[in-house]
Amino acid sequence: MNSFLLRQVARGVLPVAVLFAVYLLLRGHDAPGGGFVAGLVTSAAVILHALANVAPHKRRRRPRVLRSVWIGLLVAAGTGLVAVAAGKPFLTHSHFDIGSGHGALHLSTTLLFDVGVFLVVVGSTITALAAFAEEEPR
Amino acid sequence: MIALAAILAGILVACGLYLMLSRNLQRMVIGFLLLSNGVNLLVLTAAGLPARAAPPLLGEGASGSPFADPLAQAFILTAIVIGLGMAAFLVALSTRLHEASGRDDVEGDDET
Amino acid sequence: MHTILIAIVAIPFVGAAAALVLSSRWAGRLALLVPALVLALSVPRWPAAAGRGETVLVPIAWFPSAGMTASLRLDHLGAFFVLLVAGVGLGIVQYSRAYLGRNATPRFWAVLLAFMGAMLAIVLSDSLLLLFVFWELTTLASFLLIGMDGAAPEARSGAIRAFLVTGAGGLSLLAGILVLGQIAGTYDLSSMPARAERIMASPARDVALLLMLVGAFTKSAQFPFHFWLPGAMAAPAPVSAFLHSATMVKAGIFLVGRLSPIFGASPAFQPILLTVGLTTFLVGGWNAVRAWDLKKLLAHSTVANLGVLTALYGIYPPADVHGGIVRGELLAITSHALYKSALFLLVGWMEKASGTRDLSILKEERWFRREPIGGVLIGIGALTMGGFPFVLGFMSKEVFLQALLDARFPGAVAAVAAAVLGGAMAVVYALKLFVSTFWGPELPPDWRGYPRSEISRWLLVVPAILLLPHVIGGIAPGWLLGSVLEPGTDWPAWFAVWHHLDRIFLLSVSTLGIGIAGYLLWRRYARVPAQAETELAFDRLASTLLGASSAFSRAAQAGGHSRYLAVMLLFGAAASAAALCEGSFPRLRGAQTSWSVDLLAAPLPAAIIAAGAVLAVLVQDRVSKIIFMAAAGYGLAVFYVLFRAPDLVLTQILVETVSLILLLLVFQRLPRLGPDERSRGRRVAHGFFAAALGLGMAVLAWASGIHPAGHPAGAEQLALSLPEAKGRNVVNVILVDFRGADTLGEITVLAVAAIGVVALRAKRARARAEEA
Repeated sequence: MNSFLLRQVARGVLPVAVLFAVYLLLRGHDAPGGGFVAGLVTSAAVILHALANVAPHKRRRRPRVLRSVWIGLLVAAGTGLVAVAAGKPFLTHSHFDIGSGHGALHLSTTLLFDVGVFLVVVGSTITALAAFAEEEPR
Repeated sequence: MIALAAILAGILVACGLYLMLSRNLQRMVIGFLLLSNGVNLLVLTAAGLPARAAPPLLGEGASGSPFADPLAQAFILTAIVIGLGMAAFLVALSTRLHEASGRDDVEGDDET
Repeated sequence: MHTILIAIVAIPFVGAAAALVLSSRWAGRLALLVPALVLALSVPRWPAAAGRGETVLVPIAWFPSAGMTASLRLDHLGAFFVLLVAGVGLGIVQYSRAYLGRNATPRFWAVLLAFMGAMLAIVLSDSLLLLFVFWELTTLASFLLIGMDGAAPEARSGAIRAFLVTGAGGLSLLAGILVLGQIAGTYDLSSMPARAERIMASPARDVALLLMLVGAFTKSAQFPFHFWLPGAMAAPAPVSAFLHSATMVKAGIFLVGRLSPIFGASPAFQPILLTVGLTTFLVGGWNAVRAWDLKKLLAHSTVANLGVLTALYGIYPPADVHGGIVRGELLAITSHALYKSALFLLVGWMEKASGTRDLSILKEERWFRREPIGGVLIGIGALTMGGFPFVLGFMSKEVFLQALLDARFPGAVAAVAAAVLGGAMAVVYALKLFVSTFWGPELPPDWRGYPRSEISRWLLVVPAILLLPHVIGGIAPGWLLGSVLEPGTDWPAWFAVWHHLDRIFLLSVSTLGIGIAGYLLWRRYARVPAQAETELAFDRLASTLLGASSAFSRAAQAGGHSRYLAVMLLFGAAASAAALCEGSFPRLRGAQTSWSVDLLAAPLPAAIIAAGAVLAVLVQDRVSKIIFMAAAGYGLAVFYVLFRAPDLVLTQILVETVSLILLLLVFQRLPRLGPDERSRGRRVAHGFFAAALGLGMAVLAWASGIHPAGHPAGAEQLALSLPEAKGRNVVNVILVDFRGADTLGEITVLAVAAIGVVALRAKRARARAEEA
């Protein structure tokens, strides 16, 4: 799986896929998308990239993505704890509107929670696959 | 439609189970993935679907047509991802077992 | 005020956590600070709570949507127990420092402080659920403290026995709490009396009552659950004094007190308490009469006393129970807690000084002649235990007798007779202790214990302080009761050390007389008995149960995952079938028909799914197998389109891709797939089994799919999504907002799975590195 064509395609796909994932993540509250889907898009792209580009001798480098699992869990749980600190039940979300009318920017802690989900999904899928990929087949 | 989906869920469950009952780890993993797909479809089917249903995406105004049950979809969405996590763990277990014992099947009662 | 209550509960737990990281010396000092702080916080609250009857309620939300709170409450009964726990606790900690010395590990201090915190939380809980949590925590702490010396078989079996009995009682309590909560619609004790009518009207009322009483009876060692308490005496002396006489065993009494305003009107409530209490009184007394080991004697007499405390709640009519306290209850609890813990501590001292706690040996040696201070203290304790005049125990006994005489219920005469008999037995075992303290044949001493210089003075000072109120109360009982324990209640004229000749006096005298006669008989005919029968019976029962469960495990877990799978699935199938039969298809309403458009689009993905699944089973080459499996998955994604589930479509496609890569990547490392290893017969059997379950699942899915739910759970979420969560994609709103806690759990599962994979692979990498 180390062909030139695949390498070029993967190189082009990765940034586009990541951008697309961010788009899916941001719009997830109102349209299909969200943390799970965005996370899977990103990890699929990263895996494709890794399979195509990484030369065998580089595979020994262990990716540090496991950290993103922890960060994701902390972010998701943290957004819940913000509500607790404000005296509301765990995981009560708050919403803010910046501006008004059609162009208003809507911000909420739900997005932060979804970012946490995103990080966990990305981290765990890539970690799991990388754990298998870093060894040579017999 | 419900009947068709129910039949498909039954087929997926049956095929997945048949493979999972095998002692061979590779068959078990494939069976597990089929089974989890089958169960997901089962839950979705069991939630039902109103006629002329719309996806659970709220528009600006009320369109009048009923929505598909969002709760079942939310359950299944996480179930799909967790199924992947479980499959990865199962695969890791089976390769580990293979490395440790040189086998790719689990021990067990041979005739029951 | 709110902070004070929370602090009282929190301080011991903070102390327990801190003790774990300190050295054992500093942990002991810290442990001294904790009850002192609690006392400093709670003593100023006593006049308000006891005198003016003020109740402080601290509402704390726990899980509001399920009606669960973690509210705290301080009232007369609760404040009394706080003072008791912290006051006796302070003495116990100081004694333990002196008694255990180096054996007091940081772990011991942590468990002791955690127990103290759990006990305080029980008596301050307003929520029954919170009470249950800490109730179980005390069970756990008791287990750890009894089994502190894990090397001694007696400690191990005693700890396990206590844990099994009180743990089972705790489960019963939980079941009772849940039933009561369902009836009353709340778990808050403070709002229960207002709903007493509703509770009384429910047929499940007595179920809840019985279940909760079983919990209380196991904790308070009531007959027939009394046998765990003597076994718990393997714990060190201060632990026995604190947990198994002064505080933990009183938790059951406390619970009965909390229940009495709720269930007082139930016709079952009082007779049960009275019968169980008096039976316990007699059984405990008889066992104490027969005991030779001093600690066992004290344990049995504790059982007897707990019986009296339970019976008190069964005597007074519900109207006389104010705030869960019956007259004389606090006096009886105080009296017992103080003298019994003092006696336990003195026995601890004696064991250290004399090397034995066997009464028959001590008696022969006239041992106490050489230890006059200890002897006098034990003597005072013995007198109050037997209910002799001029000590508080006398008052306590009189209150009990008076209550019985005043009560009007069938069988009152039998109850009075039982009380007199039990009181006489108390006199017998008290005399056993008292007489052997001061009189006996003189034999040359055989020095087994530590020299006196090595024994800390605190081992006598602490019990002396605990016994002090007894002497004060014995001389001025009116003052102790009227102004300290139950201020505001007027006590009748008979409540004094000396009063005119009346029925109570006659009963007291006859109790003493029968007791003394009994003691003389005992001296003549007593033999050293074998181990008490109940304990043996229970141990046999326990070992039978354990044996049966391991036999069951052997049968059910024969190895071989296919059997496990089959068992689990059969149970699942049976449950689903039961659910289906329950519905029995009476209402085929609203079966959906208008699917014309979709039905045209459905066959292609359906065919792909079916073919993919079947071929994944049939083909032998594993790459083809994986491809067919993935084809079924992609077909499913198309099918989700028909189900109007855009998020599922995206997720399914992506997951199918990732799992396809995963399997292709990994399977190349495993050996090639041979033909199916199962025999032909097994393949047929498995195929039949799988097909049957698949068919069942299909029927289940179809049956529930064509019956739209009356109130689908999703409908509410659809309605609330935009106004409350400000999101248009309801699936995502459910995931991140409405059921956010679920999602948090799910990503945790994902994280754990990933870590598991890494751990499994890392081992492999290490093994390789070692090879190289």
